[in-house]
Amino acid sequence: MSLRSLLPGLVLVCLVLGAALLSFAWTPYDVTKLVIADRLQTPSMTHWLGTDHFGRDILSMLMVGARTSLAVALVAVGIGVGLGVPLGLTAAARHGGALDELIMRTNDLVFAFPALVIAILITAVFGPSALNAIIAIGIFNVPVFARLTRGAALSLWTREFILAARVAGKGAVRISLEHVLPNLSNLLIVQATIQFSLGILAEAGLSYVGLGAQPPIPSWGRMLAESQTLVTLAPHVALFPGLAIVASVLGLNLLGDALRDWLDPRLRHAR
Amino acid sequence: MLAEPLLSVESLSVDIGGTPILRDIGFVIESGRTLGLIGESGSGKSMTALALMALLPRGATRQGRLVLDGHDLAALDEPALQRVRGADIGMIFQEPMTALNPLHRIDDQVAESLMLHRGMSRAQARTAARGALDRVGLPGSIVSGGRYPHQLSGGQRQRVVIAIAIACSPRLLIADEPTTALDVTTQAGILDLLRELQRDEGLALLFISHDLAVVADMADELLVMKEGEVVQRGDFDAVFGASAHPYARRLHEVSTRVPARRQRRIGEQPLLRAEGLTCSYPGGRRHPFARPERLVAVEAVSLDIRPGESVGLVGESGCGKSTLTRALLGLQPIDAGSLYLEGESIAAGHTRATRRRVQVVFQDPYGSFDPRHRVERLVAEPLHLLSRQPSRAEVRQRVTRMLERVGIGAEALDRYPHEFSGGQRQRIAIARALIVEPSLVVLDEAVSALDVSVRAQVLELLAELADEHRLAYLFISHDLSVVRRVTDRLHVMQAGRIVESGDTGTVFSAPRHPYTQRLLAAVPQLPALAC
Amino acid sequence: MLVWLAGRLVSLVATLLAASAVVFLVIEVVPGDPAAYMLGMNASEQTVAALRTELGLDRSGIARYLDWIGGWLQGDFGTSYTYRTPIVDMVAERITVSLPLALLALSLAVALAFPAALFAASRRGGGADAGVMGLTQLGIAVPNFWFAMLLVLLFSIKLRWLPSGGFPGWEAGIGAALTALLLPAIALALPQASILTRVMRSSLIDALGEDYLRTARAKGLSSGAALWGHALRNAMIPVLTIIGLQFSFLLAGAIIIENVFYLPGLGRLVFQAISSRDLVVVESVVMLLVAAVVLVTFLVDVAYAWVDPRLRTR
Repeated sequence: MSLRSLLPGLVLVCLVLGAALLSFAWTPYDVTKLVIADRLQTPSMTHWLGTDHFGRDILSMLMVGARTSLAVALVAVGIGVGLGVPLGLTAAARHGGALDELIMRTNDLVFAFPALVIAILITAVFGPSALNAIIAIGIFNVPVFARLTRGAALSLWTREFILAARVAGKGAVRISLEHVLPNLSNLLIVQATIQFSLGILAEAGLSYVGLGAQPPIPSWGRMLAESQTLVTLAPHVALFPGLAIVASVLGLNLLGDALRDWLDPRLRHAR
Repeated sequence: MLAEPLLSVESLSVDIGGTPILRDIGFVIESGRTLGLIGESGSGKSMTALALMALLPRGATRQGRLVLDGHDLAALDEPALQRVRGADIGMIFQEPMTALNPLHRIDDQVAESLMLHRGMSRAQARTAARGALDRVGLPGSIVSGGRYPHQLSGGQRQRVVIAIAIACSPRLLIADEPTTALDVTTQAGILDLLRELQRDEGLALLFISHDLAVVADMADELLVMKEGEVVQRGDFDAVFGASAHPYARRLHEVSTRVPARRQRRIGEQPLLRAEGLTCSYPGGRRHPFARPERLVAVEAVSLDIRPGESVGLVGESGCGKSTLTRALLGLQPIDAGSLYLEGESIAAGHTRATRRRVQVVFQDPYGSFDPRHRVERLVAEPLHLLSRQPSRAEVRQRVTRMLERVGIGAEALDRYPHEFSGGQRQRIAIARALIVEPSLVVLDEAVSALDVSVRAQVLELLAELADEHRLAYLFISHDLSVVRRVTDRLHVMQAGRIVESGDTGTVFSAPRHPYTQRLLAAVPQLPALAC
Repeated sequence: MLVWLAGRLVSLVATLLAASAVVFLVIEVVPGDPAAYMLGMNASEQTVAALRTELGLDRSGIARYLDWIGGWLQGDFGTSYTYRTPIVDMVAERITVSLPLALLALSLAVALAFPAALFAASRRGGGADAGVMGLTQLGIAVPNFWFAMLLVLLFSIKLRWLPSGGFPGWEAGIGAALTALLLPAIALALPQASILTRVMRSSLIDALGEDYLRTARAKGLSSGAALWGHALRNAMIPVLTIIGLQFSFLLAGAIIIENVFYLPGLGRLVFQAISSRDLVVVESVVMLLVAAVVLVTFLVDVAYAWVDPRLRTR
């Protein structure tokens, strides 16, 4: 499975990432300019992917939109890892105690709120924006990583090499950092890529219903929302943003699979 | 006049993905007789059993003849083989804890065999299953058929597995390490059961094990395997006697070798003294708001270890010896009692200074090291306890010296643990335990997971080190034959209490407590050789 | 077992209470002055004051919270500010769309995933298995609302087999109602089925490697009989948890997909409420959704214990 998924995964991810990075320096057309005269053109040599109902070049929109998707998903994963992993490590190190209970109960509570619902709550009160989308998705990521970290860390704490470290006089914090965390890193990396791809889907969904990045910031989800009424007239407006989402998520998942196989300790020892 | 053999294996060879696993294996078994198959890990003994059942892993090819009662099994197709498995040949595996489906009742699991091969209805099969369960020592009054595997002990589960295997009255029973995962007394029960079944049903039994004493006890004839080949065949004296294959001789020798015991000076003042130690765990709750019940794992245990002495702690699973070990190492809180190390109280936990004096070697050579650290870092970990941290160069020097002392070369420093064999890893673990020059080393089942030949080497090493550094050992084990050979004094633990203590020789020759007597009676003895 | 069940129920209630506290805090406490927020910047002081009295905002937070909980227990979810109708009526109407949609999608997903996972696991490592894995990989990557648009394009517009939107109501007959929900349910089911297939396949493969499978084969069972009789039920256990987890995603997805098909479900209700700043409606719908998720989690736990005898006896 490894190399077979690595190559297409890498290609897709690089494509999307490259487009996003390139968009900072150059896009074929200016996405802020509305050129009504050029609206709804099908793909051609001048506009490779055609134009939307405001005459904006779809390719350029996709490139700039890639920034939104990647940034939101990335920061949301960052929040999840940054808060969730330490919480999980602490809960495992203090297993059975009050702190562990507290963290687990809080986890369960947050799990009761799907990311969309959190987004609804936040945007109802603070208004929709890309930042609020990041916060909503990020908050949902925290219990994911906390639970994963805690579970894996708990099984490590009973292992003999941890006991050996305790007999060597090391404390819980030191053991968590020197022994537990490094041995979890593979698991966390793989989960992070999964959450990243889920974050892209979540951002698209939120933008689609208007709870994500607001105009003039382009986002793939909103492009799909705007294209909905025109889907019979100009299917290409609905097609390309969707394909962009599929490509990014697929690429990340393939990459994640390849990573998981590569990092698998059983396979590593065979090398 | 010997009867026609029930099973005749000729030139059995197995390849997996091109690599030869078994080479030209051949043997016979007659009805009512037991063939013991002995070998260390990697010898191919389990593969032989799987080859007989045609349950080899994917990608395996098999050649040779397997004639059971006149029919060549090797020539049968899969549907025919399914009729043979369970009906003509029954098989028992090693791990009773995982051999049964956790979601099915035990009588249904036995009944399945009967429904499959005898065409019985579920009701009929359950009744017949009840009979099979009675036969293996699980009468309905003790264990009802409606129980699930997780409600049974290891020994009971193994009996269920045996019931499944004999339900359809097979002619041949294959037992692959059936008692290896069981306690000594439980093992004795299972072995008795197997002998009884063989006698009553006239079964042929293929008994596979790495434990020489057990096999020698059970088998009429022996077969020694090494790396996929048969190296020796015959009865006990033929296999281990003077004219036998050197490997077989060595196996016997290492199973009985006692490391030379030089006169050791044993100090007067106890190094470690425990009095009335009690430790407990929180258990289940009766209802969600009740306080969790306390399960007492160690109760009022008193023992002492003098400098330079080797003290044994034996007991079966669940006796509390692991909890006691952890308490002594400061890894488990102590509820009551006192604990002194060289006069200093450590009941509330260890300090850096006290930890320096007590170190440990664990059982699992695969789990005792952080897989991501290199050997140098692993062995150097206890140096954290020194009041003055040595420089990197000093650390390297100390580690190298220690590794060399235990027989591991300096090139190991930058390698990872998974690159070493089980025996080598235990040596590295010993190096780690000794690097801070402790006075007491706790050996927690330290040689239990090793092959017999490797075990002997590691025990030799431990004996030498004890003499050189005047080490005291707390030798914890469930394996009485090892404990007998390496300890001066002995404590026997049962259900959280120490039931007997004394000089090792005395305890073995004249045990006083009934539990000790039962325990010792259950240990299989490896007979001495005739010559 | 009963003790355990009681414990779980207590946990359920506790989680609901905690969740309600969170929702209440965010909606009614965080914005500072909910009345001012709802009316916007241009409202006069009088209107704001009037609304404040109407909503009972002059009382303390705790009192309002208890009133709100009390109201829920009696089936009174408050009154929508924009529509001036009892929220419970609006919600009841919408839920007859959202809930069946989510359940239909879940059933479709399970019905698809089950055979696909069995198929892939029994042919593990072969071409068929790789094919299934490839398809599911694609299925996971597709956003369900986009897929919905494509389905509408194909089945409604090109082929005219199915309606492209709208919901006739259950009074129009089960057939008509289900037809309206079919495309949305399919769109929702695709990514869920993909995830479920992968999890089930992996769970089956794990179960196939267990020792009790070896015992089953040694009894003389064929590999198919062993898979069916032994591996399957064991493999279902971890899948149950996933189904429970996926339900929350499914519910969220259902809400989003209502937009594509103009279904009068909870989604449209809550999004309209957000734009019109009708906090009371938002509060109630959010609470309902959270309660649904918590309830499903509880049901999954119970199902778990029912399937696995190890959890039943303690």
